[in-house]
Amino acid sequence: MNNIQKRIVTAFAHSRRRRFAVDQLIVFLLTLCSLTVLVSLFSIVGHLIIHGASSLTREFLTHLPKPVGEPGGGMANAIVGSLVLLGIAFVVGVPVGVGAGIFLSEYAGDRYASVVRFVTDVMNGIPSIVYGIFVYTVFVLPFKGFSALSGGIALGIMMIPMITRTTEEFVRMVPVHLREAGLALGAPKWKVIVDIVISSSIAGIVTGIMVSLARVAGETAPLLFTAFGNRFWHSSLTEPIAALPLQIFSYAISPFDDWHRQAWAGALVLIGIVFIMNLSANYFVFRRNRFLLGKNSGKMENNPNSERKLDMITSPSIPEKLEKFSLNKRINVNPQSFHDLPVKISVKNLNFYYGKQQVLKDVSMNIPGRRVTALIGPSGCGKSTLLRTFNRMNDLIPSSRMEGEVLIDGKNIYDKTTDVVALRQKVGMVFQKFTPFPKSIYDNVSYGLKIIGIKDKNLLNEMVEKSLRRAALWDEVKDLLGKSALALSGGQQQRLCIARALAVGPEILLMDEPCSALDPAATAKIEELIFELKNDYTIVIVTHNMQQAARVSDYTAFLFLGDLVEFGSTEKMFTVPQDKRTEAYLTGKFG
Amino acid sequence: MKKFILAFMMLMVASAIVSAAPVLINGAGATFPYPIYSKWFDVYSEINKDVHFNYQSIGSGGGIKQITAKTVDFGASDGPMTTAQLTEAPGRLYHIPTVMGAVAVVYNVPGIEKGLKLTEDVLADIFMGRLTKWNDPRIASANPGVKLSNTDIVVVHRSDGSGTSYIFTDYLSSVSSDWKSHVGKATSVNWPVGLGGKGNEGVAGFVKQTPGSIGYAELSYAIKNGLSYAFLKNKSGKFVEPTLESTSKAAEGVTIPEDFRVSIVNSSNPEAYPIAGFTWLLIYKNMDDPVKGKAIVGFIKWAIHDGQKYTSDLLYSPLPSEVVKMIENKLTQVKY
Amino acid sequence: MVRIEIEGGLDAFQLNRRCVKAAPVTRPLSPMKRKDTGDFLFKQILKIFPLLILVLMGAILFQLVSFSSLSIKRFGFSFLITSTWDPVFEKFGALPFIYGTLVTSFVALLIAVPIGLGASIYLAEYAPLKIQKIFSSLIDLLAAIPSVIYGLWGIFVLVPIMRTHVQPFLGKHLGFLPFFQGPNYGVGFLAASVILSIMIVPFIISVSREVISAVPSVYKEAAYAVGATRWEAIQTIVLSCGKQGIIGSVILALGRAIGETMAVTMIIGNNVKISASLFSPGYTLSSVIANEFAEAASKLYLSSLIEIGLVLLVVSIVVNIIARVLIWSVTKHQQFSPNAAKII
Repeated sequence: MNNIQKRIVTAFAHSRRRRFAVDQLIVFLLTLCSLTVLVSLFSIVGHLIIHGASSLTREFLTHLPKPVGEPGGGMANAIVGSLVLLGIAFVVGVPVGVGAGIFLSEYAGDRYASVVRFVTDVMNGIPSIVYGIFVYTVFVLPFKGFSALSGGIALGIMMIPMITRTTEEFVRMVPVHLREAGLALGAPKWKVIVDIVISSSIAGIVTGIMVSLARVAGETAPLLFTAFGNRFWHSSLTEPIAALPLQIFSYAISPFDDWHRQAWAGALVLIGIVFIMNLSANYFVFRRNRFLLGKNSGKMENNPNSERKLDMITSPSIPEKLEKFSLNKRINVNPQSFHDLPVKISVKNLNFYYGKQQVLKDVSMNIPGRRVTALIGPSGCGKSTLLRTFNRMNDLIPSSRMEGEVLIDGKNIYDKTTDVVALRQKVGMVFQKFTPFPKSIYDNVSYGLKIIGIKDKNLLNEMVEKSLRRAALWDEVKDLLGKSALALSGGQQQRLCIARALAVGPEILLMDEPCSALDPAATAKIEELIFELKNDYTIVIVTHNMQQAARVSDYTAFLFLGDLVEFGSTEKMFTVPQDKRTEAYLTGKFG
Repeated sequence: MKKFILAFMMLMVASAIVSAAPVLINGAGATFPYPIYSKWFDVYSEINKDVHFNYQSIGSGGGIKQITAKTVDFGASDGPMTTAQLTEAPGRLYHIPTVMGAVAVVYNVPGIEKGLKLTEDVLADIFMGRLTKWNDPRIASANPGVKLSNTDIVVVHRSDGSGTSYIFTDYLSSVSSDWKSHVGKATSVNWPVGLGGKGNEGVAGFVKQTPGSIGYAELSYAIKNGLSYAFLKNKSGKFVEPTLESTSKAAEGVTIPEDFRVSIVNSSNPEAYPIAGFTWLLIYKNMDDPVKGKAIVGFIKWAIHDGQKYTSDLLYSPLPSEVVKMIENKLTQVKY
Repeated sequence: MVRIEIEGGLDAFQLNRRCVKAAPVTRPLSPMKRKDTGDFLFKQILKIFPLLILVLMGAILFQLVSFSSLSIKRFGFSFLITSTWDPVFEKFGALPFIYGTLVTSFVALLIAVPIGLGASIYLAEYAPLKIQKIFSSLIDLLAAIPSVIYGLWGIFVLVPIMRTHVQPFLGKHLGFLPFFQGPNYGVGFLAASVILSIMIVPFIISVSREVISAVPSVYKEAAYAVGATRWEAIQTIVLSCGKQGIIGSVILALGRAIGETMAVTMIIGNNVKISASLFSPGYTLSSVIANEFAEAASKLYLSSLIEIGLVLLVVSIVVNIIARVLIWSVTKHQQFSPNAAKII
């Protein structure tokens, strides 16, 4: 060992004991800190139980207070009063809080949302007594009276910022593709929000509401000069009302021993109410998860994806030297070469941009009806983008821009007169990530029908069965229609999504890598399905799996770096590709 | 979940339309007479089932403020309203006396029962913070034979606006010119020393919990809580115990003005307890609500007659008979 | 232009041709307008709610300012530095309350921060998973207890302990310091500070935990790799990375302590005095409002009390902003945690 190494070893040996002693000491101190915290908690709860439980008699819970100094009596009116105040607070706070949270998540621009969020955070920190002063000046003074209403309003106003924040956060967490699935069925945005987004995040929203209710249940200061207190039953909401925290306060500072005992009992009841509310929030989450995920559920996994933009813009991972193949070759497909095959979708000189980046370059093609057309190519070449132009899903992305035309049945769907909602019913979509709504199987399939107003149960039943049969799922789920869709296996869920898309009777079915998240057995089932479906539907399928394209499609389009390199019958293209790049891709040289 | 919400809603709606049967009359104010008032309201609601009186004992200051703002139907105070306060009210306010009470000087000195003798200068100095130990020679000299320890005197006063404070500071102002110039008399003063308790209940509560403390509270609170209280030297030089009799004596020979705002502290009657006072209900001459007005007047009529028989149990002194007659007269002027 | 000839398509088409009736789907004609109206209405209705929040905040500020205007005009800036609070002679100054609020909050932080930080480090770094979970739930419990119940416990449990054990002990051994002198009431600054510290400890623990967990473990691992002991790794890496967030949590707790009303009112002793001794009774901004609001008979009295409320509002807003900025800048890349919802 040389000198330096020796010195290091020596230094380590010298300091070793001290350092480890310090470490041990720290552990001891930190544990002590934690225990100290626990000690105070146990002391409080312990005293509550010891002093309060014995006074928690039936008389206490059902009687009114007795006159000063006389023993006995109870806090029945205060218990009921607290519940009434909470009810009013609920009515005041929940609609505003939830509504604001939804707006902030779904509609608000970033700057406006930040401002409102900032204000709600500030409001969360305002001392509760200031709220009391505010409500006193606005509701008590002008109306010349203390009232249950003013007390409830004070509590409700306190709840608003809390509920807004939690609602916004949980609604934001609902994944983008869930919303897209709803929109792709032709549902208007508001229905997607009400039916799908809210029901997906309901557990979180309810938790937020319950927690804030529990918080205001114990508030005393704002009630001091609004609800005022009442030794009798209140006879209307415009009269003062008793409340548990108020009663506990005045009894605690009194000199009467009997009142002290009652104060403990009241405190026990109050903390019971607070804990029950917190627990019922957890219970609700538990029940909801059970419904959604079946009996053996854990916590529902929610992908935190607060990005509303699709993160689809990836730079191609293709070696640049292949660029030189792209030259100036532009592909045009002459419709006449289809002979008398009807053209369902016609793309004319489509250029598509995300912001500054051009994703599709002068693409023109005709997609025949009642056939399966596959779009293949390396990732990031614009396949999905092209697919999504057919049902105008790209409209959702703010920075997107296009030039050119897309015609379905001869009509340009980017025309100003196009009814986008109707378009999306005509053109169904199945996504890569299967997106069953958090509803029952039946409700999932019938969703598209219900939103256009079909109420006839018989018709709905018939359509559901038909669609499930078409999707080759009927036999497996016909006895489980009421069960949650999320309880199905992956392959079943995807077929469910297909059934859902079929239920509204589209003419075109777009499939964006529908099997990439499935195992081979499930994939085989879906490919079988596609084969059957093409008799009735025009299918365009994006796939990165060439073998799949070869198996299922009649026609194939090869996209590379935004260019349509080749388009033709699958059989032909796979055996005798015309373009060198096609050949390179098909033989696995890249991609 | 839906059921839960439904139940909640129903509870709320139910409470909103719960029987409008009894008329609810709201009052607020003095804690001094709270024991007798709450007894009265309880008894009266049995007699007259159509009316409920809801009284919040928030202190005389609160009573004055709320009745001035008309956020309650009647107020209560044992400190009479000043002329300035009366002019601020939106209508003509009447003071209606209901009972008399004594302000006892309560203390918590382990080993010493009731009956510690305190002179007026000692009392003033204690509450001004100049006399700080229980075994101070000035206390000892008035109490020969009593064992006093070298403990600190913990002063307790009112933190809220209080008629009891008014009566107490009224007394101190009349016996100590120092007090009068430095602190003055009012429902709320700038106390030189001490802890503040909320209401008579708060002061009594503090004194009960804190060894070595001294405070002032209505006699009822003192006795009901087993607190010791002092015998005070009155104007004639006698050390008097606060009792029903010595309280009543304080009003003897005093001319009661027509508006009933009178102070009876430091009475010259040799049997009188020096810190006594009336307590008043504050009502408007012209009542806005005829139903409520009738109910209030009806209650007062009961209180000054039948109600008086509950006073001695709760250690308040009943009204002198001349005062009752004057009140009857006054009530005829109330319009509703 | 290269042309691609499609061959074979015709045959395939003819082979696959089938006459299939398209499945009849009856649907009512939905004119474009109806769907647009739905969307439009929904958005417009929802728009009201965040606006309502902004309006509410503005209204609170406005009401408080306008009702304090009488007092502001009369006393001006001296309101904040006068120590007289005399309802009789109508001279009002908020200094004793500002002092009381600051002292109790500061001492509460002094007690709560080391303990809370210690507990949070223990939880985040040392405790096994099971204990972590149990402890978290218990902390949530502590945070959920209403203020008035703390006050109740304070009056009957804490104050007697203060009076009979803690304060005499402090007075005997540390009585040379001006903080621990004077008569021993039990209630007072110290008792109020202790109860405040218990109330704010949950905030410090939960936010600090989030901050500490947010420090990427690679840094800690790097420290271990050079042979640091556990404490050394925590000290040099976690605490320095998480410093900003921890300070933010402390300031958040401060904000909470400043606004706390009921528990403090019940055990601070309600004495309008500025005293160096922690044993002496005092008064805070929120306590004076709680005690005297219902009875402020004169307009000036009420206005002064509301001005105190305004001071409270402004102070809590400023403190809150500082705290949020600090915490936000550290945890903005983190996923929102439902636990924090219970605290915030």
